[in-house]
Amino acid sequence: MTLPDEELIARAQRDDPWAIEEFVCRYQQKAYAIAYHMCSGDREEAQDLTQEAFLKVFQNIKKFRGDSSFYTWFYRIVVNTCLDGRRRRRRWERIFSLWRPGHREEEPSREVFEEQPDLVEGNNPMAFLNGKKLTQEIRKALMSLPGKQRMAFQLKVFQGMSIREIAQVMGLAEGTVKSHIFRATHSLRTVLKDWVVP
Amino acid sequence: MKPCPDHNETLWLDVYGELDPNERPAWEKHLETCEGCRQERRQMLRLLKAVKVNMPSPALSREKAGALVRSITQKLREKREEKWWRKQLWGIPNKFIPALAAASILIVVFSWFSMKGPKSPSSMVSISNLKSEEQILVKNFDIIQNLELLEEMDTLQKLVQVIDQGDVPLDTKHN
Repeated sequence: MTLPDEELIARAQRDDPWAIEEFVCRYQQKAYAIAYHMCSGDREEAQDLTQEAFLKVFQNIKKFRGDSSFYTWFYRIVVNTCLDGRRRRRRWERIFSLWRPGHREEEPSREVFEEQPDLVEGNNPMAFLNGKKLTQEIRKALMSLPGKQRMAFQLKVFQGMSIREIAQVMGLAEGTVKSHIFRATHSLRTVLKDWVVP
Repeated sequence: MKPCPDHNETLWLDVYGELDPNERPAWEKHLETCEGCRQERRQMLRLLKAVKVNMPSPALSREKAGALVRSITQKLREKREEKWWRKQLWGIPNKFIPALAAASILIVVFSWFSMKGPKSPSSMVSISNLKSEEQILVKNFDIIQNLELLEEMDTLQKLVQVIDQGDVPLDTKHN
């Protein structure tokens, strides 16, 4: 019999090691998915950020009084950890780029594009190649979006959250979230026009 | 064909599944008659599908998931032990430690200077600080420096004696 989430949280607040372990097992895949999409598809970094987010959650779990939804609170921590991690990474990249010979200001920051598992497109090699190319185009387009637009879009499309939930997680007004998603969709549509228009 | 600009937001909300149920019948009615909106809706749905299909959310393997759980519980245990240790040691919060360290360094530096006192620029050495032999040497040096004055004093003393001798009463001379 699985323990209800509320009971699990209450036990985790009392430092119950079993409840903490069970909580991590239940939510690590979701947290990892958010981190993975946020940190440019770098699996190692996504794992580190997931771990950092869970540590923050358990360090502050006693402060959670149940005024808001626990999942909003939890995802907010995950999202903020990812945004902090991304900021930190950019800062380091900027520092190291100063020491690199032949450094140019306009050079775009290096983003990690790890290979996804190969997509199976039947036995058609052309379809397979097209699929790979489209994946790369989508990644590039997503990476070119500003941080908040990308986050709002990813939470909507990949995590299936409602606009209200995204607003609570990101600490923004619903109208702002709508605007972020709308702009992100518009940018993606422009970039991926050739793939979308038949 | 272009979509109707008036229905842009409705179309967008519909594609994202956020359209108000009360607005849906009117929107569906509009879609039946408007080819531009229908086409735009199809393209938007195709775009979102392409993004979802080509960017799947990865899953942690069983080994990695287990390793993550172990790592988190281990770190939490370490933090708890560290907290306990810190409570034993004055219970000082983490953020105050650098400030306390800086303050104690300043105290040490100031007390060092206040004990030593500032050095005078002339760096004159007082006689009391010297050893006895050095003290004698310094005294002798004083005598040598004042030798001329002593010689002059000796001359003056002789002169006074001569004058004193010259001041003999006249009547005794005559006698």
